Amino acid sequence: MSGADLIQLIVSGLTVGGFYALISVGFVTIYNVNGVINFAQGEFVMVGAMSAASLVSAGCPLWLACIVAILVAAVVGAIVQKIALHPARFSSEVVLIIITIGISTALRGIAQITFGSNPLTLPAFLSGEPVHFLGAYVPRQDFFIAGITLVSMVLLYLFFEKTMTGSALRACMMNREVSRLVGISPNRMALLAFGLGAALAGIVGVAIAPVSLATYDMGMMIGLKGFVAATIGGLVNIPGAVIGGLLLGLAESLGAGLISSGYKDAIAFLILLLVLVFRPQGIVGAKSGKRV
Amino acid sequence: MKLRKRLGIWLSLALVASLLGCSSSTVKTEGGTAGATYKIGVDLELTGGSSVWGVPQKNAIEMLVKEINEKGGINGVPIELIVYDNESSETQALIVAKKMVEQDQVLAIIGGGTTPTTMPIVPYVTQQQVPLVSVGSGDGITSPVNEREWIFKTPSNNRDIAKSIVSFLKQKGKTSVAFLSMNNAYGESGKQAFEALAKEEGIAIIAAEKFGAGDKDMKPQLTNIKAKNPDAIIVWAIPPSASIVNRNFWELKMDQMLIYSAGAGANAFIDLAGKEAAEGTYIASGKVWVADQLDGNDPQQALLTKYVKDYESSFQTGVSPIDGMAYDAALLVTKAIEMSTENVTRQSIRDNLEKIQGLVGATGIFNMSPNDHTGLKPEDVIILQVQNGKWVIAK
Repeated sequence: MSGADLIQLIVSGLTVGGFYALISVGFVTIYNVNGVINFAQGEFVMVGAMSAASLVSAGCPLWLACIVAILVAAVVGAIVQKIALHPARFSSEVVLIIITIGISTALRGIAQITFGSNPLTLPAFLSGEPVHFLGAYVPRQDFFIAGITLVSMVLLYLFFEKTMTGSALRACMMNREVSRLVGISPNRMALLAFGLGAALAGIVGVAIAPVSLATYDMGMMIGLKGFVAATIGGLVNIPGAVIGGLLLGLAESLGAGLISSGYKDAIAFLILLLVLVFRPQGIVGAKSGKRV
Repeated sequence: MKLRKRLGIWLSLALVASLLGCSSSTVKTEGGTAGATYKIGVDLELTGGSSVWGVPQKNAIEMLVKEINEKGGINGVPIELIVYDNESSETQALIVAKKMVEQDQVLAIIGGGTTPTTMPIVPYVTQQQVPLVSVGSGDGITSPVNEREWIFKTPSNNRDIAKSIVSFLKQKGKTSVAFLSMNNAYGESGKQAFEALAKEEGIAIIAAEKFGAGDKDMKPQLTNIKAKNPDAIIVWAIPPSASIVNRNFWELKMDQMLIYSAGAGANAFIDLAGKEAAEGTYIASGKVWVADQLDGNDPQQALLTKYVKDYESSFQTGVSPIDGMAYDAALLVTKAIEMSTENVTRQSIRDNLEKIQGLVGATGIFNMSPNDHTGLKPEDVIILQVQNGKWVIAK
């Protein structure tokens, strides 16, 4: 294994890690405002990917298809919150989690009926020959993925830190009841968080579809990986979620390259078990950092 | 509070784990005429990871049966297909097989469409004494033959495919290869067959890697292979993962000879890999894709030309070797029914399947015997290459 091969593994790991990071941010946002681990998060990725791929194959321009697909994911997220989680908001955490699992299965079924069971392709935004970089080859689409991940992160930061709505959302993440006292509606925030989380998943969907193909059942595994990333990051803070995602992507790629390719998924879930047992607060950040 | 939260996470994980395994739905087609029919069960991957295979296979079977029924069936009795979706799942494949045998009382079963979905059915149909014609290609499906009395299959043996690949490698002067396979029964079967043959023929396997059927990125495995610089890379996999390997191969700018087993023979293969990436890729496959390039003396030419024409006019999509294999399975079963002189029973179909000689199919020419429940020869597998986005006979 030469240095160039190692770089190749790292590049590959960071690309996949970028996806995990975005999904994981969605998990954290929804978890902190709605108090529920949303196991339908992966399905929002699928909704984004399948919508974009179907729109493009129906003749829609690529950029428009992607914007529409992200909006579709956000709207599906908002609808899910409104009709399935909002009525049950006073139930226990376990009930809410089971509801999201139900939603996930339902969305998969609907997608299978709507889009069919064949994998769909989405053209890459940046096509052409891969780029040579430090002895490794980087597919052009990876730059797009890295770019869109970074832009999303910056926008998220600006949204949370610099806008009124973002601050309100943050306040709600810290303490629902107190934020109600200062005039923030937790219900509206819960809806917003779901829409935002789903939109982030939709972005992942349109970014990943050219690489991994879009299938109606792509959501389950990718959602679980995002959950692992969020758990590594401690489930409460967004930078932690990003770092968790990147770490997971790297661990998978290096594990597959250096140890054995058969253990790729096992590595992700082994990390999850270790984190839950030894550092349930996450390997990043302080013990109780309910800060964004 | 904290403890409850943790408990919640654990509990939900357990739930998701259990959900990953189970989900169920069944599809049933229209049941033919009311009177006596010959019922044939079809157990295929209409949804799930291998649906790229299952849907065209179902189409091919239905096309042949429709044609037979329009001509008045076999000896005046129409054929009724009982189609179930096995969701590309081993468990579901067995569940629907049981349903066919016990509720629908089928005479024979076609399926599963892949090796992993066939293997769980094998002991069951053997015990129930129902003839099974599988579209899975693993050699373990029909061997050891003394334990596979009721089992037949239409895809070429992995050993025959390996033979075809090895002789092509020798012809091109390639001596070292890397072997990349799916981490399931299909990949394993191919690996064993290829390893055994490579040893006999003096081809060195200098790297062996695996990947999961649902993996999205095979660059780590290919990076390892690239470091060892083999002359050729052999991939034993089916789409979509097979296509992702091809795309990653191109993304890493690798220039080795890339050869696929017949499993990659779905039409979607090139589309999913991308035309640029697939250019120059080889496959060891049947002749369906190159029906128009065969010379006039080829015994399969007439059947293949008709098959391609019928399929394309019925479904407005191109044919592929994998639906040809399912077509052959239906061809074998209907032929065995036709050969029955007295009552058509599960036993008579089994006995006749074993007696089929010189039956020209889409995959090859079938010569069954009590010792060979596949009945194909290495010559039925040829090497094709993608040129300008189309499969052509490799030179």
